[in-house]
Amino acid sequence: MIPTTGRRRFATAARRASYTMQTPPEHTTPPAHAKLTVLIVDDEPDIRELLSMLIADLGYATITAHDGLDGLEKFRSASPHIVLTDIKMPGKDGIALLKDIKGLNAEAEVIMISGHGDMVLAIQSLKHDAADFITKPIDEELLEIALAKVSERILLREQVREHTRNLERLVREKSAALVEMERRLAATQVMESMGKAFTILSGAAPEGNYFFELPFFVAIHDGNCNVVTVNEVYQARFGRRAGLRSCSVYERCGSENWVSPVREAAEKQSSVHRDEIMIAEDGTRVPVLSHVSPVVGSGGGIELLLEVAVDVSEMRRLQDELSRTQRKFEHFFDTVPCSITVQDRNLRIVEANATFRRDFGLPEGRTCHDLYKRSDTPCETCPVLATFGDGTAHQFETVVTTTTGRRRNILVWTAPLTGAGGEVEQVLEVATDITQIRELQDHLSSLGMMLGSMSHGVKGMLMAIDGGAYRVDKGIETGDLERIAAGWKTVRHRLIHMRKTVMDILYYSKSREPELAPHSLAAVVAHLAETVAVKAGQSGIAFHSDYLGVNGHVSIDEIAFSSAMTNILENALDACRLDTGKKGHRIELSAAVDGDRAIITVRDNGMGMDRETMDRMFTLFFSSKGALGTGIGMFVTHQIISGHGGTIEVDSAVGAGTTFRVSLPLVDGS
Amino acid sequence: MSKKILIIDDDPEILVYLKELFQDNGYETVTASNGVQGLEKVRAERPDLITLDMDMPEKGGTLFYAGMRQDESVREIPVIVVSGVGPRPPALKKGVPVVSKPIDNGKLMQLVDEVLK
Repeated sequence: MIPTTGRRRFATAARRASYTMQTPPEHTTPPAHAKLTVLIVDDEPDIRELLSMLIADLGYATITAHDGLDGLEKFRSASPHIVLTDIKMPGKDGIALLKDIKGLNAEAEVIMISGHGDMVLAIQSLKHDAADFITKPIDEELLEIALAKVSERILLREQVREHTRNLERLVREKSAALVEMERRLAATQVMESMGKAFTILSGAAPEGNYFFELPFFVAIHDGNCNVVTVNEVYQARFGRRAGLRSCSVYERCGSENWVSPVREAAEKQSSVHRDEIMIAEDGTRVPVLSHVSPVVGSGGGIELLLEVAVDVSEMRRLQDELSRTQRKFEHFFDTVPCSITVQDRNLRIVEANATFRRDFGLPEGRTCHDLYKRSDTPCETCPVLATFGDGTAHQFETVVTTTTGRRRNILVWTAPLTGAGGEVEQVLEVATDITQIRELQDHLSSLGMMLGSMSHGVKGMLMAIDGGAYRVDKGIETGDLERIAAGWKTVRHRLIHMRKTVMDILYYSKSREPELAPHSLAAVVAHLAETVAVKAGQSGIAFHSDYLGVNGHVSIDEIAFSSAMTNILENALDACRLDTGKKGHRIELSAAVDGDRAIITVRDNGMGMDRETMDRMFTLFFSSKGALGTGIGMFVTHQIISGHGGTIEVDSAVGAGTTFRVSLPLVDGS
Repeated sequence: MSKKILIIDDDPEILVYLKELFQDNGYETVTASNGVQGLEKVRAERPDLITLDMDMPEKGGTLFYAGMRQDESVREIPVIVVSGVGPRPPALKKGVPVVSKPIDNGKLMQLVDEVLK
């Protein structure tokens, strides 16, 4: 029976009291953000003026517009952070304005103001991505909370954007390091080709001595693997080695199964290319890439061997650094507490980090909506598709399901990954789990709400009791018995009310498992009828019950169930007592069996409820009774009946009365 | 001639209480149970003082106050807030005394006498 949007509405309403707790009115502090601008759109001048005054007091800059068209124009010209718009306006209404604004900037935060009874419009506006709505009459606390919530979202979004920017920077750095590496490798290849070219040159003109100038370590060995000559660079580093054994410069010289590259080239009569470490004169280890080419003489035997070695220590260092950066990046990618994915145009997940894989499974080429939502189609306002469309970042909040079936609220941020030509090739998506924040917010605010609502209710009741006491005192003073009686009636009435409030709260704060046992339907209803008949009689309300001849059993927790039914019956009594529109009130309680269900019906001809009250009656802290209600009773009633596998249907019309139909499954009586 | 106090509160029992308290102290009273009625009464009855509850169904205390301040002919009538919640908007706090529910009869009467002196 709770409407689907109930949670959201409750979440908003619930912040009200938590706020009251945190910020006493005497110390209203401006919000912690930089000054945000709020555009107020309303066709009524006094509401506009009042809102402007309230919002300016809360520390926001304000702009006003007198209708939808004006609002759109001001949105274009002033780019406010937040828009607050009335739904019902002549000409362009709030919903049309909302759609246009979202078309201009999907991230714009729009709060709707709905009047009494346009709940349907308000719900419709949520579908068009309104940030929130508040109802008229405007409650300044709710307004403040709605604005604070939206401001917080703007702030959070800025943080995620910052986060994404950092990631993008890392990706850029990593790519730069890769490019550098490529460049070095290319240089090595160039050097190798040069070595080869040199071989040919030296073969053609053995007396040429230009090789002494080369910036590589160049040595010429004879066919017996002794050094013949070296260039200047070689000599400066490793000494004048002419006449020494070729292999003795290498670190591994003498190791088992190792032959020097020179020896190998000589034996194979072909070029050898290898990584070696050479020991410099000062004992330094120099990692080199050594290339040895045999120069075959005219007789077919090896005449000379040309060795060109390039110092790769700088390259090694770069390589190490690169792999460290890579590891760091991967570590970061995998350990951030966000699900990060890279998606292609078909929303297929190409890459996913460890957090994502842990919570939503291995991508294996599946799509984002499949993994996140088990859905065949993308979300209606998919931020990834939006990023593919316009190449800019987008933001989105949604609810997803993990592989273990847990629901999570996530805040999604997307960023384009562009190819060389600047076109968007893939999209990076960072999803932050904000479930706990949302849950905590709801939890804290419902606690705060309860205390706030309690203290306010209790204050009112205490004051009424004081009032009753005052009248009793005055009555005694003047000997006015009538005044004493009236005062005492007030005191008693409020004491009963207070008792009921306390009992409701005790039930609400105690979550207990129902102790179910089969009871005869007729007996349960008979018991209820007994209690109500007395109360109805006291208030002069006619009471009729009809349950004779009803067979069947229901499985109930007797205490909880009768307290829920009593709540419904008390409501019927109140509806009759408070109805001044007619005389001759009656309440009917009946029981019947319909298939495999037991149906208990409570019908009154009291004041009845309007649509909005009916929609909201099972919401926590909703009360239509003003100072007389705590807003807990019907919430608890609904909880109890649902806990019994039952349902409540309500049918009501203002002035005509209300019918509650409680349906429970029938069980075997034994 | 005795001075007239307009009492605005949605709780009928509190209305009766304040009505009797003021009458016993020699004031005339008029009552309203929400902001809309309050605005009608303030224009029709021209009271010398208003006691205002903040949290009411329909038009609440803030809107009543804002509406009243826009009407030149009644905007200077002094207001005392008698409420469990107190005035929220800072703009409304300036110069408006607040009595928190439950009230102390003596203190409320002292404040009323002072304002109406």
